Amino acid sequence: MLKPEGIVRRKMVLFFIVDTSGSMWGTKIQAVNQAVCEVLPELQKMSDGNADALLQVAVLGFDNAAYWLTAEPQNVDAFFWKDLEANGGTNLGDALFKLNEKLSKDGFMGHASGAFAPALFLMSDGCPNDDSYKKELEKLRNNNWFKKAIKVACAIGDDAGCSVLEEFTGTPETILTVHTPEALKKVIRFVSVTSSQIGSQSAHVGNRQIDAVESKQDSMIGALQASSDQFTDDSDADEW
Amino acid sequence: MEGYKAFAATVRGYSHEVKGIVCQDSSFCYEGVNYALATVCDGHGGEKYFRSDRGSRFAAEEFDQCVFDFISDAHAWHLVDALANSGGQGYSTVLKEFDTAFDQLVRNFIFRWRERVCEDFKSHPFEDYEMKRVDDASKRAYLDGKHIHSAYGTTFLGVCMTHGVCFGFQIGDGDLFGIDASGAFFRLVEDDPKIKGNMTTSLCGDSAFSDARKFVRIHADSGFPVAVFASTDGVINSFSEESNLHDFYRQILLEMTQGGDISKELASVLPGLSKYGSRDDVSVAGVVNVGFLKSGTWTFKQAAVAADESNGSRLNG
Repeated sequence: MLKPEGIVRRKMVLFFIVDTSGSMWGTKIQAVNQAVCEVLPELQKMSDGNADALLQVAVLGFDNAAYWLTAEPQNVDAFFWKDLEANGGTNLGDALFKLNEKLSKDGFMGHASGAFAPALFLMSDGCPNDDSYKKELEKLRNNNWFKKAIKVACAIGDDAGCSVLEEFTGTPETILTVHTPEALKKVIRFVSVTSSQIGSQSAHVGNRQIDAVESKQDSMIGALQASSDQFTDDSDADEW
Repeated sequence: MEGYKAFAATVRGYSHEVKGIVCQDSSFCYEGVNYALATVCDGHGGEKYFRSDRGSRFAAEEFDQCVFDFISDAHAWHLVDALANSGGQGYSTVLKEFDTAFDQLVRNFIFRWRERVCEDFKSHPFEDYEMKRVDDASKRAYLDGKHIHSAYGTTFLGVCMTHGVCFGFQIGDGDLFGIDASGAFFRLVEDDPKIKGNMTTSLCGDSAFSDARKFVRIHADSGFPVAVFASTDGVINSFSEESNLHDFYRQILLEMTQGGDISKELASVLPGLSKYGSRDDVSVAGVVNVGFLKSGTWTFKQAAVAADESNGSRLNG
């Protein structure tokens, strides 16, 4: 009688990388907290019905230093968002260092054949005030999980360092700038849901171009372009 | 073919059942007088591949027909025979000739699959309801009669075993494994750098021929497989480690060696594999030299038990 052993569902980790520096204090960090809480049930539903992967969440905050709010990735159905607080500086370099550490089999990407490339969602309203971020980003770019990952960033307000965020995602098409709490919430919802949908599917042939093989990042760019009207922020000035 | 048994099984994925989506995998096997074959195909799941269930079925059926034609061709059979009995002088020349004939088999297969798709499209043009969720660019192309093969897109893995030669090819993701007389598993084709993460090549692609990864194994060489296995990615994605998949294959061998009804067993076990694993459609097929395993099981069982002990899991039987 056949008794297969070692059966597992593959996993896809959605990383929230959140700037919790002092400038995020107030409506910005409140909007982040609220939006993530609100999108979790949708992610849970997706994970239950998803064809190919169990969705997990990992949260990395950074201010004077970076810190994991999840000791390991959490299944979305067992994950409770603990409200983030904002104060201190913007040590992006430490965040990239800690992210690089966990984007490994010994870190959060265990289960050698059981993990899809992750989705990395960076949110920040300022520029890094540490000297190490360029060096750490260079190291991160050599990480194979990072190379394959979906990478999206949200620039919160006019003071956000878009060029830095672009260095992280590798393309301006995956930088979304918002000026209001409502726009921020929409972006968080859209990026969380869409990156999880794309990231947790198994192999496919390209969507944007007939028969072209495309990466998950390409698919994400396509989704952002196709649905930009859902979260376009028409405000010219910041309303925080 | 005396002593050989072929098997094939496909089960609709758990998530497809829940969502009411058809099974997009297909599989097929055949045992003839001179050869046995097995194939699995995984129709693409995206919205623009809305006829991939047919595409995967066409691929499985056309491979059967192409191999039949190949084996029936006197020149090709002469090459198979010459390879099976070759060694030393003239071997490389025969292998080169065989490779040319094999290339033609692959080209014929791709051509016939495309023809089959065209016939299906002509008799059943795309309906509005099928294209409702297709992206604009693809829909425009389909309406212009362009790239219609994409709607039938599928991966393909096929193997053919004769007494002296084992050959096959793969387009897209999935796994082709052989196991030798010592019980060691090995991949029959090289990894394709185009297949990374969620990306796969496809039978519907313009580069399907160059994307086909072929293999030929000669009996006279060491490492001739006593069994070959083909499975769609829904199978390996259900296991935490590749060794778990090997254990599963090993159980299939033992079941077949002991005379079990492998089709019934697979029909019973694959739904659970999908439900608790990938949730995707799952297909497994293979050709097994049951005669050898029955007569020479000592070596195989020793190796199987040794391999099993080393990875710490139990062996059934």
